[in-house]
Amino acid sequence: MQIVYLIIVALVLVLVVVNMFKKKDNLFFQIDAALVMITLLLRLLLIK
Amino acid sequence: MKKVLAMLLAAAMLLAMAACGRQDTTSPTGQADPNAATQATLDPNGTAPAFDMQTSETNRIVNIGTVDKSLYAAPMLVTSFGQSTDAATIDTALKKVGATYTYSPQAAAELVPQFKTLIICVGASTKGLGQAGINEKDEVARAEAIMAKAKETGAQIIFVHIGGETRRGALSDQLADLVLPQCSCMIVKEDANWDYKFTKYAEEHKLPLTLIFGQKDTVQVMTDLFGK
Amino acid sequence: MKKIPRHILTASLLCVFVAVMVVVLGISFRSMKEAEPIYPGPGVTGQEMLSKYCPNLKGTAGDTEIYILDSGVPGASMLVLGGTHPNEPSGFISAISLIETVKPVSGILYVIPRANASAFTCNDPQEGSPQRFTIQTAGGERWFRFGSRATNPIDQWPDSEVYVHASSGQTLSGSEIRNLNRAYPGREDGTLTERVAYGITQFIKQHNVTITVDLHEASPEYTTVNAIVAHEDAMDLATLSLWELEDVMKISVEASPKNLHGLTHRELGDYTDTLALLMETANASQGRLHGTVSAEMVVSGQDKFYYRAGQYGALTVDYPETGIGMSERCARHISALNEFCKSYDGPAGTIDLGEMPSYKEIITNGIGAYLASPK
Repeated sequence: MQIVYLIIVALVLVLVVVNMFKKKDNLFFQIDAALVMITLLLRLLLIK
Repeated sequence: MKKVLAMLLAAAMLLAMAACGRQDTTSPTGQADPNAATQATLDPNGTAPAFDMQTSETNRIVNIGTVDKSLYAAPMLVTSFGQSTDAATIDTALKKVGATYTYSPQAAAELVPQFKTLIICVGASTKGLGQAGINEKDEVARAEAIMAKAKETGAQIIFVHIGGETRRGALSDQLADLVLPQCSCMIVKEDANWDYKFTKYAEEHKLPLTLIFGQKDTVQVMTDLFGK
Repeated sequence: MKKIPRHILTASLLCVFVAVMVVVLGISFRSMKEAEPIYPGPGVTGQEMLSKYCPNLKGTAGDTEIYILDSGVPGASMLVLGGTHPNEPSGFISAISLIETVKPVSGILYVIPRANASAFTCNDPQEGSPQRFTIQTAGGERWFRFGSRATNPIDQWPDSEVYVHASSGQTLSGSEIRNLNRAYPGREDGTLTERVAYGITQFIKQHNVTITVDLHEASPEYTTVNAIVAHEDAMDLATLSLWELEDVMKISVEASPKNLHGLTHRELGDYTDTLALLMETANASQGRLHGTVSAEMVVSGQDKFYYRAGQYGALTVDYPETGIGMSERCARHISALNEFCKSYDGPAGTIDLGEMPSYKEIITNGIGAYLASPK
């Protein structure tokens, strides 16, 4: 079951990264995305 | 527009957190705790006279008046009005004394005719009521029914209030007032007597009153009453 | 040379920032896996791992040490559980004090200081809790972790939406699936938390433990605080002990609710022959009324907002301006444990913990005086 949720986290992470690189002229959006990436990565790496 | 909405949501969250911190005496069962009342709330203007305890660590039991032990014959029932653990304390004390009795904290009125003596431990506990699956209204109704049946049968009643100051909330006092008019002796942990309610009642109605300092003193009191 | 679009540049820089933050935060979060040292004292005669009683725990974050203090004189036994909720530190510290200083004279004392070992490796989110606190001992300062109420979610994830207690069918919020004190009697093949509960239950059954005491804390506004919660089989023992304790502290006895499942005082009493008890002391770092929870506040128990709440009559305990410190809370636990041993007079024989400090001594000297010096 955990592997399913980790895959979901990985997918969301990918989507966040892709959107962050696509978004033009919106620094705050990119900062928000970066903050979200931190928590997703910490969970994906099973740190927090 | 988005910024205004975000601010309103943040404000709502802040208010919700502040609301959690307000003075609230609601117990985990969702009912108001009848024992939230203390001396401060029962006597908000401080009109009760300054309280001097007669008992102390070195003088743990004070007897006012003489108990006629011959009144209290078997069979005996120990029950609780309010479902605090004080009835369990009396159960433990009586076991130590080796007395013969029936312990039934939620005894129904129908049982009363089987007993000549009722030891009624008064003290309301939201937790106890919740655990027993009884609400306040039903507990008062049960108490009233037991007192009515006891009056019919002429059972002798010993009033026990050993939960101390914390068992002087509205419900505890309501239950105590049901028992006092029919009891023939009183046993009270003295810090519950902070407004002299029990000493005044005992004096007015010429009832023997035993004041105790701590719950463990119930062993000596029960030994004096029922010891072999 | 083609100019890099600005948004790509900022995104790339932010990715570097993310990587740095993951490393920095990762080091911080991972540091909580380091266990604080415990120095077994002269009374400790053996040590086991909980996985001996639940092999499915071996190699997991839930496996934890059991300290055995066997007097060598036959008698009753007592199991003390500290750290069921690692954000309630006085139980954990009291358990460590027993391991490091007590030498029983009769019977056997078992101590599991970190009942939920996984919960020590993280904090509860959004609480701003410290990761560690320190206590001064005679030989220097010692550090201890301040953990979470529940099993680390990286050890047991995801939570179900609704937690169905296996043996009773009781339903609770899904987050309670990681609360050890809702998992008893546990399941051998259950979640990590259920396996820990199962191991402890099996330990009690196999060793026929006479008395089991689970040490906890609660917020000063909670209704069950400064209390002993007793299974009905243990009510006599709790009452007899209360009679001795009430001369030195305000304490009450509460009956274990029959309709709330998964807790030590309910399930261990129902599923084993042990006399199941649980103790609560007042902890200002819990609850909803406190200000900043610092490492100092965890130990001092001093919080100006709780003091104000006490003035308003919102608390169920007396809360002085100086707070309710760790020494006082540990004094309650240790005095009560000693009293349970003294008051027990059942068929299992006697259990005597030997020379024990009094409630007043622990408060006067500080709990640090009853912990080993750091090595």
